[in-house]
Amino acid sequence: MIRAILKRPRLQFRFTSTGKKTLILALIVGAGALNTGVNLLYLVFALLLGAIIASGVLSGITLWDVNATLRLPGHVFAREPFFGTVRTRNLKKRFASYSLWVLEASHGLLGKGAYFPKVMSGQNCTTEFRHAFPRRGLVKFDWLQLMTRFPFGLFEKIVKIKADQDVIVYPRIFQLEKDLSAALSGEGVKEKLRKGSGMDLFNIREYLPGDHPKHIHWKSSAHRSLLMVREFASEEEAKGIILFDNSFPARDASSALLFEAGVSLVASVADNLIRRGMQLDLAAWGQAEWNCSGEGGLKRILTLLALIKPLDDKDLKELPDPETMLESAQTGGISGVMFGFGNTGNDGRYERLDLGPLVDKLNIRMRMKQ
Amino acid sequence: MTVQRVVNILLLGSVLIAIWTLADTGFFPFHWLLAGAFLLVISLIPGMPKIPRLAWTALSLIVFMLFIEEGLLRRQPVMAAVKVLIYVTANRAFQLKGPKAHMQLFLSGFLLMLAAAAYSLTFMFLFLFSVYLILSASFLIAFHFTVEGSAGADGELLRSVKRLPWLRLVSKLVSAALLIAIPTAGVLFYLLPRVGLGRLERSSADIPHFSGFSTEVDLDDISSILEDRRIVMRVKPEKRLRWQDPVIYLRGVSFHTWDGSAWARDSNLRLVGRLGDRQLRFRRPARTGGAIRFEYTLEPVLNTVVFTVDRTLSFTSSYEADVLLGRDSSIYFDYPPLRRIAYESISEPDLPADAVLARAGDDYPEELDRYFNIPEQAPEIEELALRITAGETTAIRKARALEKYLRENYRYSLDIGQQPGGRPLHDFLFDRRAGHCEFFATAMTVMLRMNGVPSRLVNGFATSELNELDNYYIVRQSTAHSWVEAYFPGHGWIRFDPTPAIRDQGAPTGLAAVVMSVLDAVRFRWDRYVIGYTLEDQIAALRFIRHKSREYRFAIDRWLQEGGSKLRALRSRLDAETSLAGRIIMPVLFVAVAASLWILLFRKRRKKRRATNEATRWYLRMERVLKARGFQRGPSETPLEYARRLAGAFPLVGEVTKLYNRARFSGLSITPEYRQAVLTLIRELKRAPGSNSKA
Repeated sequence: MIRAILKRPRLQFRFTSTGKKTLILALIVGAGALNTGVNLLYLVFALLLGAIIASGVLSGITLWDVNATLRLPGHVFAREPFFGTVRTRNLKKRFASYSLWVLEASHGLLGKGAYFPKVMSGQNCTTEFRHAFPRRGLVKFDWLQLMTRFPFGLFEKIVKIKADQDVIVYPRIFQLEKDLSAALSGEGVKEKLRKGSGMDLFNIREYLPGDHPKHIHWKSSAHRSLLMVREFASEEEAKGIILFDNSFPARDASSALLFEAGVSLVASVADNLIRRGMQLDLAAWGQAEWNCSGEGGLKRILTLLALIKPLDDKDLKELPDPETMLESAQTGGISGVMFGFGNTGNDGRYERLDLGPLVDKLNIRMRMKQ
Repeated sequence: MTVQRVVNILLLGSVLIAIWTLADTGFFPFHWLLAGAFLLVISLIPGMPKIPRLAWTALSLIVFMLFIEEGLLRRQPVMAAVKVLIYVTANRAFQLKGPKAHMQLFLSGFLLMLAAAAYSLTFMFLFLFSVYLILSASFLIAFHFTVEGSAGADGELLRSVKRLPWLRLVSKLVSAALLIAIPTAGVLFYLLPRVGLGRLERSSADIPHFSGFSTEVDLDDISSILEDRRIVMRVKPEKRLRWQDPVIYLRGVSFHTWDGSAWARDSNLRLVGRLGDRQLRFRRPARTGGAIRFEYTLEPVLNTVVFTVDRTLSFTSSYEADVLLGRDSSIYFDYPPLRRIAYESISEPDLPADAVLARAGDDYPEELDRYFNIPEQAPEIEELALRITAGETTAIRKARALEKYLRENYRYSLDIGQQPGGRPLHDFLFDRRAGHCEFFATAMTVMLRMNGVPSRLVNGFATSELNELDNYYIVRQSTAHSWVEAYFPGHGWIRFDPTPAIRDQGAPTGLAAVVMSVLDAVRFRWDRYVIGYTLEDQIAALRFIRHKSREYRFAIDRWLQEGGSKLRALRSRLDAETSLAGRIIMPVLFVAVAASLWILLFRKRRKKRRATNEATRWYLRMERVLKARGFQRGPSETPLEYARRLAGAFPLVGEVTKLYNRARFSGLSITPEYRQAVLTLIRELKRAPGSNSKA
């Protein structure tokens, strides 16, 4: 018990406007009682103070031994709404918690907050929320706040709860209509008689942990009373490389926006190519992801792009040059596409990849070489 | 019924109760309060047509003009403010939309209740205020949920809020809130200092009062007072009285001169001192030594007489007034107490025994001459007086004979009618043979004087209505009484009551009496400890606490001293009776017994903790070795999942995990197999070639 009290997180406390007015009213009644000597005014004054104290005690009980946790989806794209859940758990053995708000102050994840009118002792309550992160990157949720104005709305009591949760927000993905893989490799993909990530059925086998639920073959699962999944035939995977020249001094807001649009475009192209069955490498200054195919590969690329930052000239001295990487890749016969800002690829080695009005709009120069 | 409607009903209910409480004070115009209540009720009816804004504006203007006229020109600001509040209340009730309007209506209801609190003196306030508290707390809690649980601009309630079991929830939470707030408020109420700056102290002239006690006796028209059962005062002795006589006499005034139909009293009064902060002592020697403290709560009265249990030795009150003393020992305030006041007396209610009074003799001082005065030439009365006391030699025996004769041969009656001839005492004694207490008292006084005993008639109250629950006497208008005092040298004035005992016709009986008794006890406590709670009470309470704490401190000191001396005695006995070995064995035995108890009490818990700790220690050891080999357990990976992951490479991990889980969660001691399995695994791992690949 003593340990619980000592470990109890520090409460923040502030009067609401109703609380301030009530306090002023109580003081006026107290002054009136003092002045007139009427005992019933003393009684009303004492009751007002009693109500304020009762309010403090009840709100304290409400916040005592309650925790809150966030549940967010595995991957989230910038500016794309998603649903998450927030769960409160009342760890008290005896008392319920009432009128509880869970707030997330640093990123506004829960808007004005998630409201729980009642959480019974020893029970959980969960509520769903909808949110969209405005930009890519690593979003850290260090703290959640539990707040209550229960029972009379006289003051707000807030207690901080450690959240320790991170979410990687992938860059926004544009829908590109054109099959870029064909443009990049010059030919389509060929089917092979082995297991892979093609479109045609190769086999049906028992479900294993880690299998994607969308591959479950419901008919045979029902037939065998066992979860079965489909396996697909492999296709000849065309290989490609994307080089992202992130040497871009994004000093002002508009150039930062341009950089973000570039990242988003690279992500969209990578998404397009991988979904068309291509195996991709992604290289940028100082960082790279190799042999990326399928869902897992796309995730690796998107994670890199989620965290990538524009680099200044002075940062580039010690890092491997992506163009050198491209050269070495091309000597291995791999097609490449290079994205850059400003003066990238002016030596005529690259041809312009037709991405329609999108590229013109973003003012990004892209060239490709086969 | 929607949640919002429940909230509205609770709010309007609380405001209606505030209006009722205000009406109960009797100070505010009833038609205004009735109109306010009526408007509140009809505002609740669904589908009521809206009052146009123009009409409200016009009404506001009229009310404002009334406020100016009454508040400023007629200088009755409180009355004017209450009227404005009632108007604002009705206005808000008709436009009850949104949280702000709700809070405004609640605030105006609260201010109405505040006005009622400032002016109320009735016991009904307690009941109404309790109902108000419950309704207000219910409203505030329900309102809180509706405000917090509303989503969007239109204030639509969340489904989770709508689904709440409202009745059960609100009643539970209101109980919890009041359970904390009321005791806290109680403590604060009694601790807040009653300094009473008194700048805006209420004018006491407005408070309803009544009179009943008469300072004149003319043997006429007493019936109306005697039939009035309203309570005049309550008298609480500090301890339960153990008298033979169940009646308590509260002395008011005495009369010395009888003119044949009416009595006259002294009008020369002497200033004794001022009350408010000190005790007034009367220079009277203690008579029987049985002095008792009495507390009196007197309702507003229109006369200045102070009623106390005779014989009064000292007198104190917080009521700031001059105290005057008559030659006949009657006590007076300089001004009638027009509000409820409390005072205390230390009185000596016991009378000396008849045998003691018999030795008093008849050496009467000269200033008692007027108490022998008999202006009326009534030979029949004198002949009767002497006949009754024939053969009696002492004053006390004569007095007892007269008292007994009147009690046994005459009947008590209020129905005396008008007798022609102007000889009321003669009519009472020889014709009607029935009358009320003034007739009996007059007859005995006159006949005592005819027997040469100085005597006088006393007016006051005599009651036997004891509230057993709280040990206090209830004094009603109907218990106004007259009796006789006769003088005994060396003992002073001694009380005699020749009126036969009568049964209180209006008094309730059976269950009603019990209920009335309980209600009156609550009312008495309310009046005494809430309405009439003063700075003096606070000081007395602090003195009591100090006194009690000293008592306890002394008791503890005494107990420690006694304990210490007993221990010392035991030690010296041990020194004397036991050997050195015995003296060593005793403390060792004591420690052993204490240790055994400790082990018995805490062994189970410690054993479980030890088992758990050991199991974890061994498991962590295994985990460390596996980590060094590149097989780290993930932060969200359970031991079983970890074991499953390593099942191919290290099947022994599964076995260890099974044994670990058993020891960890069963609280049983870990098995030798567990230890052995972990050691074997560690040995295997150490022998295996280094690998950093993930499993």
